[in-house]
Formats: sequence, structure tokens, C-alpha cells
Amino acid sequence: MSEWLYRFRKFTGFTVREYVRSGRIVIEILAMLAALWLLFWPRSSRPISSEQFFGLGGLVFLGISAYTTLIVMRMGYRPQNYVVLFRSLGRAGYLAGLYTATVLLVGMIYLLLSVLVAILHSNSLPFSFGGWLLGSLPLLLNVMIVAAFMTLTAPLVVSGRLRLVLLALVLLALSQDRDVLGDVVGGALGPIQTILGLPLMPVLGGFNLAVQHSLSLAALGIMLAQVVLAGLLLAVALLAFERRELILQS
Amino acid sequence: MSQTPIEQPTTPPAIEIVDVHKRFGALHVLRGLTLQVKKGEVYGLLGQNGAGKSTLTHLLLGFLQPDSGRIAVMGSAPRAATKIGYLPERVRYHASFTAREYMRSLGAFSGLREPHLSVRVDELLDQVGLWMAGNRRLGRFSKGMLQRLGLAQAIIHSPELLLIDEPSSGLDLAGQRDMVELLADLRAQGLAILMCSHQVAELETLCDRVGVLRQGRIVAEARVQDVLATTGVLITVAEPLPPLAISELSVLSRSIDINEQTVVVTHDERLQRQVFYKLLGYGARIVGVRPAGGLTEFFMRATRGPEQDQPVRSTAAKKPYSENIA
Repeated sequence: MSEWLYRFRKFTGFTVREYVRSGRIVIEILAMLAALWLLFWPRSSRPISSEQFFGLGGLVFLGISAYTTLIVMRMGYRPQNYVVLFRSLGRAGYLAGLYTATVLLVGMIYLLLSVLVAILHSNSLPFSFGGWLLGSLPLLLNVMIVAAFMTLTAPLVVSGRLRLVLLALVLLALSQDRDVLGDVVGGALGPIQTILGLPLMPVLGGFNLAVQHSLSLAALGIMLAQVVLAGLLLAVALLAFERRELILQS
Repeated sequence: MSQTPIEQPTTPPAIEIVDVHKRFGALHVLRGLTLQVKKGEVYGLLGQNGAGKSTLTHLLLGFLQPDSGRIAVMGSAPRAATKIGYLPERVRYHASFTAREYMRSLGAFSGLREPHLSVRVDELLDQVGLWMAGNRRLGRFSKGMLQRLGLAQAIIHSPELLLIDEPSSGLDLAGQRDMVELLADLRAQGLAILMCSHQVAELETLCDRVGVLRQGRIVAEARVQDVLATTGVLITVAEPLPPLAISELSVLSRSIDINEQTVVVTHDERLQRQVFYKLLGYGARIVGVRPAGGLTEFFMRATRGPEQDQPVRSTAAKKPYSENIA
């Protein structure tokens, strides 16, 4: 296990370094600066609220997380990775490394945003360091869930057909308007939609928790559900990747 | 050509492929491919573009799964075998790393640790002539340098089997010579090598055996020394030889390959003289003499002929290569 962890850690570091050195990180930095300017810049005498920071910040970072995962997975799909994949790192170490690198990159950008917001609002910061931690943890767990889902649906991991099925299930889970489908179809889809919507509960719960940034037993339960959901999505992605026929694309 | 002693088949072969089929949709790429490479042996795989060479390599590395048949690498399933090195055809690397950083990373992915890792990286960079360029980013490397680095990364974890796809692809003459020298060093160290190449000279220099892959299976296979033993001269005469001349020439040596208007004689000068005297004695008008045989002709004959149901395997020495072609 320690051997595997060593190789995994090295590959994660390698991916993060490549992402930063190749300049891809600039997009995330620009997005973060844009969010800082548009959402958190001190424009009036009214101080920033914690709802504003964790609520809007949470949404922005879900988007950044989806984008970064997309790009990291695309990096992992290039033919230069044949010389990485045949090594004893293995497919599990490879995919887990790409995923962890994504989460680390988004985490770093989030940390940078937090520091900049803290500097800009140093006189009127609405939360302590502990409050920031309590708000950030569920927010970052949501980042992990989004990254795991994007990993699962990446072309590196699943074929085009399976990806379409997964995306259709997500659309079904998210769709609100069943009336257009008629009584019979809409009624039949209801229970399915409810089941498919279950994984969204930890995400939404985590979002609320980030805004409230309070510690309670329920909060711990929500965070545990977030961890389980991210872990499940990643486990399915690893399983799919183990069975995937690899023809890396240029 | 230096010969590395080949291990007896008491240990599992480096590569064992039995009746492997692989399809991509309607495209049937490998059709019952059977191939064995012994430990310490260098096997050259010749084949036209699209013959299935890269598919075979990717099956051996576990990137692809066969539809049917059996593949064992160093006695294990492909993905369980860790002592494999791989040099892909088109060398594309992570351009933002320096050669030294890159080699250290790949070594770590193979489980090598410091301080052995750094020592091994420097040793290999030195071996492939890139020690001085070790701190240069790969984006600034030439094609030849990348190819040499490719070989270094393939052997950083001291593999027992090396899979190489077109090692001299895109290299200039000096680069090709350097690559052959590097591969000859590895061969001398006793590595088993499966080499896909179009460079006949490279295969002649390095390989113990060669096989021709055509339409998804091996259609011809021979020991290189047998093929080279049949190199010599091709003599062309103006009119068809009389049957008596053909039978008299045939008894001179089994290695003479005679058709109605052509005679291929090995590079045995005494035998060549005898053949010339005989031909002139029969009043044959010689209209052409040119070098003949070798792997090029072996390959051309194998790929020109009709597809056969059963490939012929031969290790018999002193046999014209044409007899080894199915």
C-alpha cells in the first residue's frame, strides 16, 4: 500500500506541476479574479456577508471545479501518457492522481480567493478563521463531488455511449417540469426522478452548510454524506477506467 | 552480429501469444495471431502500415484486451507484468519538464526511490548522451534527442522485456546509427526485445528472429542468420535455362535458388564462381547480376504472396528463406 501511495503521490504532484507550468492555471486564476472583482470587491460601505462569500463563492467554485476536471482529464487522455500508464503506477493510481490533482488545484485557487477577500475586507470580515474552515469544508466537499462526477463522465473513463446515458440520468434527476410528458409518462418517471435526485441531497445540504458555517451533528452527517457520494462516484469511475480499452487521443 | 545466449524454455517465455483475435468494430485487426519471444531474444516484427503492429504492442501493454486468445508477458497477464519497458513510435512528452525531472518522475511512477533514482537517471542520461542536456526542457529537444530520451525512460526501471515501436522513426542517419548502437548495448545486457520496424538494416543488425505480420497474423518467420545466409547475388539470364542446367546447378548446393531465368547464389564466392562457369558452359547469356536476398526480399515475398491458412515456422539453418515463407 505504501508503494502505491508513493507512486500516486508522485503522479499527483507531477500533474499539478504540469498544469501550472504549462500555463493552464491562468484560466482558473482569471476566473477567480473576475469573481473577486464582480462579487467580492468592496464597492460600498456595506461589509461583505458570509452568505455572500460562501453562497456565491460556492457556485463559482463548482464551475471552476467542472472546468478544471475537464481540462485535467483531457490532459490525461493525450498519447504522451502511454509512457506513464504502462508503469506500476497502474490505472487506479493514474486516475486517482488526476482526480486528486484537480481537487488540489481548485483548492489552491479557493485558498487564494479567500486570502484576497480577507485582505480586501480585513476590517469587516464576517467570519473568523474557524468559521471560514466550517464554511469551506462542505464547499470543498462539493468541489470533490463535482470533480468526481466530471471524472466519471470524462472520455478517458467511459465510452461515448455510456457518457450519454449518464448525462441523460443527470438531466432526468435535475428536470422539474414533468407536465410536458403527460400523466402516464410523467407519473412513471416521478419515482425514478426521486431516486436519481437522491445524490443531489448531500450537494444541496453541503451548500446550505457552507452558507451557515455552523458545527452540529446534522452538519457532520451532511459532510459524511458528501464524502460518501464523492467516494462512490470516484469508485465507479475507477472501476470503469480499469475496464476501458485505452486508445489515447492526440 | 553478437549473439546473446537465449534461455532454454524451462522458464516462461518473455512473450507468449496464442491465437489472439482483436476487432475494432467491423475491422478485424488481429486474426489468430500466435507468437512467442524467448527471454533474452530480440524479435523483429515487420509489417505494412495497418498490419496490426501497434495493436499488438498495446495488447501486450494491457491498454487493449484481446477478443479471444491468450497473452502472457513474462508468464503473467499483461497488466500484471511490471518488468516491461515501452518506447512508442511517435515520441511526445510533457514539454514543460526538464529531461532530468521527467526521468525522475517516470522512475518514481515505476516505484524507484531516492537516492537510487537520481543515480539511475544520471547514469541513463549519460548512456544516451543527454547528460549535458538534462536540465533543458523537453519542449526544446530535437526529435533525435527525444527518441534517445524515449529509450532511457523505457529502461529506467531495468525491465526484462522491451517493446519498441519504430525506434528510428523520423531520425536522420546519425540518429539512426546512435539508436542502433544503444539498442545493441541493451541486447548485450540480455533484455528480451520485441521491435516493430521498417528499417531492415536495423533489424538485420539487432534481431535474432524476424516475423512478418500480414492481415493480422504472422505469415513468415525466420532466424535472421538464416535469412542473411541466403543473401548473395541474383543472376539473370536472357533465355530460360534448360532443365539439365537447372538440375546440375541444383546439386551444387541446397542454398541455390533457381528459377527459369534467375539464379540466386549465397555470398559464398567459390559457389558463385562455380555457378558462373556452369551457366557460361551452357551458353547462357547473363544479362544482370545484382545483390539479392536479405530481409527486404524476405519481407517483400511474405507480403506479396497470397494469404495462407497456416503460417510456416522454421528455424532450420541453411535453408533458402523462400521456404520459410508461408
